[in-house]
Amino acid sequence: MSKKTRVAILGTGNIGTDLLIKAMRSEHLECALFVGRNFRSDGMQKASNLGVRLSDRGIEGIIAQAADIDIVFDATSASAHLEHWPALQRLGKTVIDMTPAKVGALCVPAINSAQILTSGAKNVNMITCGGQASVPIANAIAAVQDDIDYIEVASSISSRSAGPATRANLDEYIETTEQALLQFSRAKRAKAILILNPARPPIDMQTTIYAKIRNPDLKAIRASVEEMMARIVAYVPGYQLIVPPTIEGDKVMTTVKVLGNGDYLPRYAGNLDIINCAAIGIAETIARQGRE
Amino acid sequence: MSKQILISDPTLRDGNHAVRHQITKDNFAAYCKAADAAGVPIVEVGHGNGLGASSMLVGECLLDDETILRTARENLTRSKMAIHAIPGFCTIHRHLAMALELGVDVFRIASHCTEADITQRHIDFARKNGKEVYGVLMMSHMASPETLADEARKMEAYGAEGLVIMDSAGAYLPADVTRRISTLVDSLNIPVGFHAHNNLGMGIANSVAAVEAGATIIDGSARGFGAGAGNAQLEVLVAVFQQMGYSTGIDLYKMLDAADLAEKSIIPSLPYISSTSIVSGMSGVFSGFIKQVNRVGAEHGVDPRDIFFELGRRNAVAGQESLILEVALELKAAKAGEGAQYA
Amino acid sequence: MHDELRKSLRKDCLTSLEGAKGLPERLKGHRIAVVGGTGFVGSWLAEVVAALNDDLGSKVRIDLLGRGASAWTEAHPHLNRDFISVQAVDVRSPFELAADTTLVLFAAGHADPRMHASDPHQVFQTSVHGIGHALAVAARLERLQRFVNISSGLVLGGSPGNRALTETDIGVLDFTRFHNVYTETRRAAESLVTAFAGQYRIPVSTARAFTFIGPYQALDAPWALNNFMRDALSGNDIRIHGDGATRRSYLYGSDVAAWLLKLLLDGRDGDIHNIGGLEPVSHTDVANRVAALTNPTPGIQHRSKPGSVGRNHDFYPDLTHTIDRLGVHQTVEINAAIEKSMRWHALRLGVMRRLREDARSQ
Repeated sequence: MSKKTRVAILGTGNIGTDLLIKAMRSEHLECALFVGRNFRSDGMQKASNLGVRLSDRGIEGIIAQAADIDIVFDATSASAHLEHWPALQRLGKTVIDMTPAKVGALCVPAINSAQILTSGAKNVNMITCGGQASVPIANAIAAVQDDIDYIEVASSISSRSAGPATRANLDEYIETTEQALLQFSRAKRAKAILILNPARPPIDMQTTIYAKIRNPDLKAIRASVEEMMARIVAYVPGYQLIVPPTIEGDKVMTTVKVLGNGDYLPRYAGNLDIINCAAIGIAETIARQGRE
Repeated sequence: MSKQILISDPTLRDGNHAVRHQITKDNFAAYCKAADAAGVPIVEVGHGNGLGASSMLVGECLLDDETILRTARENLTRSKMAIHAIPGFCTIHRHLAMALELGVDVFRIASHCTEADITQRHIDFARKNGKEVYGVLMMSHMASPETLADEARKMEAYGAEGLVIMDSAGAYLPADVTRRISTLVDSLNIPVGFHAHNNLGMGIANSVAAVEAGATIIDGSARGFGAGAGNAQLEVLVAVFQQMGYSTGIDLYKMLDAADLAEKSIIPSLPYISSTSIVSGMSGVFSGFIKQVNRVGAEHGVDPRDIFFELGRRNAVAGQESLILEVALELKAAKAGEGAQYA
Repeated sequence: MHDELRKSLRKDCLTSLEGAKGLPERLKGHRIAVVGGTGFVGSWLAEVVAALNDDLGSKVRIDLLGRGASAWTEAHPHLNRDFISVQAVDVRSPFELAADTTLVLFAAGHADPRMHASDPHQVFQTSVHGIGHALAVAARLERLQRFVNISSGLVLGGSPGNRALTETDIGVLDFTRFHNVYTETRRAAESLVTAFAGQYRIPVSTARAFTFIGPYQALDAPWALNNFMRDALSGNDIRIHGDGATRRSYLYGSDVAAWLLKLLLDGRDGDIHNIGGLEPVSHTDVANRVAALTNPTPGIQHRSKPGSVGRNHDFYPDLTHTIDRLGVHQTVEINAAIEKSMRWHALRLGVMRRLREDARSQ
């Protein structure tokens, strides 16, 4: 009998398929079911080639196999998640929500894995890609600085890595990222900007974090950010600091880059990779706890 | 009846770029009053990058959006108040909803010329609230006329009532404008507009070419007050269109007065075409690279102008600052290689 | 393969490459995937790539994906090289491409009208579903520089006739008719390419194929020229069915490959380029040229003239846009193309004696 925690992935697009490949590589997780609404999607065919069990019945497919599933990743859309959640809640399943629906507890593994576990949260929201890249840094700065007036995060992603879902949900992206920034940095105000860059060859995902701080202690900030980096790199190997925290006028700024793993998506799509790495990260933490 | 041209005036928006977004409340009020008196149909106000763009990334505005909109609204009676909005900087809930509430009449929703599909919901919001909405394609020289038409069609499908292309780098010559505008006029069922920049001294000529190719919306700023080498000079446009027999509905004398006012009180130094503006216009490169190109060029002994041209050849866009160093180092190595041949 | 044939093909490739300047240098480090690559286009591209690497100092890799993978490998032992890989793939299902692929050419499809008549469903699936899968996997390629769809000049539909067809001579096509399914699938494929390009920002260009000729094209393929050659090499009279005045132009295989490589490198987004021969030649004229190369000279019989005379079925491209923009040249003109093709088939069939003496060697 397998000792791995059994996951179902709902949503067979690029995010879901990349999650599948990461889950299959995990020591602690195994994919019990890959669920969508159309067997002919490229993700479904990929999963079929990998020998994974499939269903094209959407949430009904999960309900039917509920006994074989411990954790569900919802990689569909915010509106679809709002429909899925009540059913999943009734089944008592832990859900990792990849959409900006924000029903559950916001999670950045490097910051609050432990709290997510102790709270026993059944709905864990992965915020946004830019959020996973920037919120831990904002949090690291807040750890050594009281009273941050304002935090701003500007992410640029390649136009090619931004599919229709991203484009139709820019506002949700901004609002969700800002909410997470406020929660995890206790800044008075937060702003998130997302820029799609059409350059060729496609650029790697890059995020700059600005903080307005009255008396910044640069040494402490750098040390705190470095420590946070180490925690992030543990589950996002391609995360790099390209401009360490620097003071420019009245602001502290720092820039990070995320190079994706290239599992299913091109490496320049680090934006998609980081949210998946974070989701797998928290799922593994939950899995490990579940077996203790 | 002579052909009508709809003038849209971004003096108090594009001009904000020239003063790092520090236009004062008094100046907003004063110019709005003057433009209103002159009968300028649409007056655009705000941060250079539009609603919600005040940020550390592109520069913090002296005034918040709410103050700007209130001030403008108080001083515009006949003229319509417009905002420029780029999805990704602004959101519907926080920014467009506020703009609606504060009486914005015209919503100009903008994207990079190949990314029109980010504007769907924002255009839809303005439309369903009964407001005038235009789609705007920025840095339009970076796409072929056919691609521009495809992107414009998307905005039309989303509900845009007019489509404006911007020559953000000031790269066009009149023939380029003619080709693009005619392609758009042929492809769309909505009016087409043009926003010129003056890097190659073509602001007026390009605007005239646009009109002759079928554009009916033209952007122009008082004294050309705007980013980089400035926009098409509005009061000159009004005069030229009058000479050509087009009708703008704008009172010439009062327009000249508004421009005089802008020069006297609002514009610290009049726009002119600098050497760097010429080079960035010729190479079609985002003029915001200027500082960094100069710095990197000085550091590595490479002529910044050569860097600009190479960036242009590679279709560099804003956000590719790292490319500047790469290009400089390559040019440096190439020069060294040449030298070695004659050693 | 016959040594003489191999050398002959190599010579053709080098000649065509001269007509496309700069390719060896510019293709260095590229990896080309030819989807549906075990046919005429894939085979010629493999030959050209071998010429580039062996004789012109380039360093290109090419992957041919298709259903006839094992048969292809057996038939082309001289192309069993470390820079050429062959993969068994049916494009009607999703497939993978090498992660470092930089150029993708979609060449899958069924051009044979007999197939259109007997299995149009498969024709549709190959062209439309197939290109969908190719586009989806190309969208995930990190280093993709260009995707080229080889479409057909037939998409232009009801043509003006009696002149060269430009890329924009778009005419009416009655899509409700069975015999138009193939053409409609090519149009649908072009549409799908446009959708992907517009939505997923993939750099794509389109090649509109007209008539190609040369080795690696089956003698029994139902094109007029192939029929004439088969008749002649079988020792029979050449029979022309239908209107002998109908004109086609022909582009030789190595030129096709060179032009496609140029399009892969220099194509611009959304560009459409005709690929075909310059000189329109009537069927009667072509039959005469085939006859002239044959020993003894066969007779030419005009069979079953169609009822409606005067309806024009000319089909040949205007190449202005292609030649101006891509800077390519046709290096093998029609007579040489016919001669080379006949020699190829004659050698393989063991009927060299049926070629006129002076046509038996290069």
